[in-house]
Amino acid sequence: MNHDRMNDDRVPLSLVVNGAPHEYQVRMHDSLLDVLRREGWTGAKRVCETADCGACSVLVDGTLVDSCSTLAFQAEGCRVDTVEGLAGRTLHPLQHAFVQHAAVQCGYCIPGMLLSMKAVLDRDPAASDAELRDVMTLCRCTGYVKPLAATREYQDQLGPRHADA
Amino acid sequence: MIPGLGAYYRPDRLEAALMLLAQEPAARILGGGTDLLLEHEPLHAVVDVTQLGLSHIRAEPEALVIGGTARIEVLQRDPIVRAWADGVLVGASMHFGTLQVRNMATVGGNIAHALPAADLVPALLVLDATVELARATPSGDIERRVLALDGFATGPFQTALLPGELLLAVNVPAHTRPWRAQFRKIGRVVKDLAQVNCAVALDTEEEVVRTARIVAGAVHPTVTRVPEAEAAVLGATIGSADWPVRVGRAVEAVRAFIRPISDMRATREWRRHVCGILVRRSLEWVADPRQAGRVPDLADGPSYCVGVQPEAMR
Repeated sequence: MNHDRMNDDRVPLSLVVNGAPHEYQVRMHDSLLDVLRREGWTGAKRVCETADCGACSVLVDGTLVDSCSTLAFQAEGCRVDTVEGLAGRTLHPLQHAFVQHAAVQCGYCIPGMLLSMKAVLDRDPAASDAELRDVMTLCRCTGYVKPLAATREYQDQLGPRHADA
Repeated sequence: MIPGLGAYYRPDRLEAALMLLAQEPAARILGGGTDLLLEHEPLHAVVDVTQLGLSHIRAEPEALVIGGTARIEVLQRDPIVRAWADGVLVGASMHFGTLQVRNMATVGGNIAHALPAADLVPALLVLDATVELARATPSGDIERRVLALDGFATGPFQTALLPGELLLAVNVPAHTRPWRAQFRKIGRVVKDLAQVNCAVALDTEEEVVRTARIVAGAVHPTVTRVPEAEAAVLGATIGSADWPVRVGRAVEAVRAFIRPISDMRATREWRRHVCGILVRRSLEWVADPRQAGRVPDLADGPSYCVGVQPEAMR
């Protein structure tokens, strides 16, 4: 696939966002974050824009990436999951655990935190504390204690499910 | 993010990618983009090389072969890599930025970007790695060559790559005896780029050092071997009365050799001092039979990689 246009020209880009196929008109240099936010998926947050903080985290084909430093075209044809896709008719159990533990203060990093925790637990439901701490996004309010406690509680629910799989 | 982009190419065949790179001299090679996309200049064109089937990691009889677009996170979880030379490549990739960065960043990108603080390069250098390169010639043929990784980076962000040349793979030669090796890093926080990093590897025969590799990073225009430090421990007997003296000489040789700079992360004086400490600790670690074959673990935490305490600043 080749795309060779002037900078501000818009070109079509296909993404499957939270399960539904979309075709968006994007600029060649748009980051995945630029496109998602412009199209209303504002759960992905714009913070550092240097791939340090993780607030813009999304899952691309199930892999956790910083959408701020990914070209939208790098995700062409991929499945992109944002925090908006976590909840169904009710909150995802991980979100519910965050609410129960009041693991949110300003809340700006929480979408990235939720997706980071989910990415690790999807790979290994028995992930160690060290692994969970390793992937926590930068947060200036919670002190990380409550998000970790909430994640552990969700992880406890996963044990039996893991054995089933 | 980059402020403008003229063209994005994602070829799915190596030949097509090399032809593109030959025809578009200004095109930049895009792996994960964790370095390239943080630049603030518009780019004429990028060639995304992640769909060329170059993400393999496999053990061959003569070498561990790692494809240029193998992701750092895949590398650190690979069972062959974990079992190779005390898992020194795991140590180097475990603290390589955040999970998000490790999921995107590629082995080839870390080498070819030639960042003086690259984390993977010290671990590859102590294992005598080579790099396999390819480019399309004007007549349309594909020309391949293999270079030693030692010397591949020629300066900060500069390498021996020719225009249009792509790094296909890195090869880590197999040794008859497993080498003892370790990577260490210190950063302001563990996810940050290294203020200083280092790796050492020893091949020993009945505790006599037959081969030594000592590499320092983030303290020199390129990640660099320190031949004088390697010579200082060569032939020494681990555990003998002479061993600590030899280690001390290696540390002094490293401090004398490197040319660190001061920047936002650390001063040159601090880097010089701490680099010696990291080398000393790594040599003591690989000489300790209790640590033999122990793969680095996240739970080793700060005492392993960050947070050097003042009393340890000898």
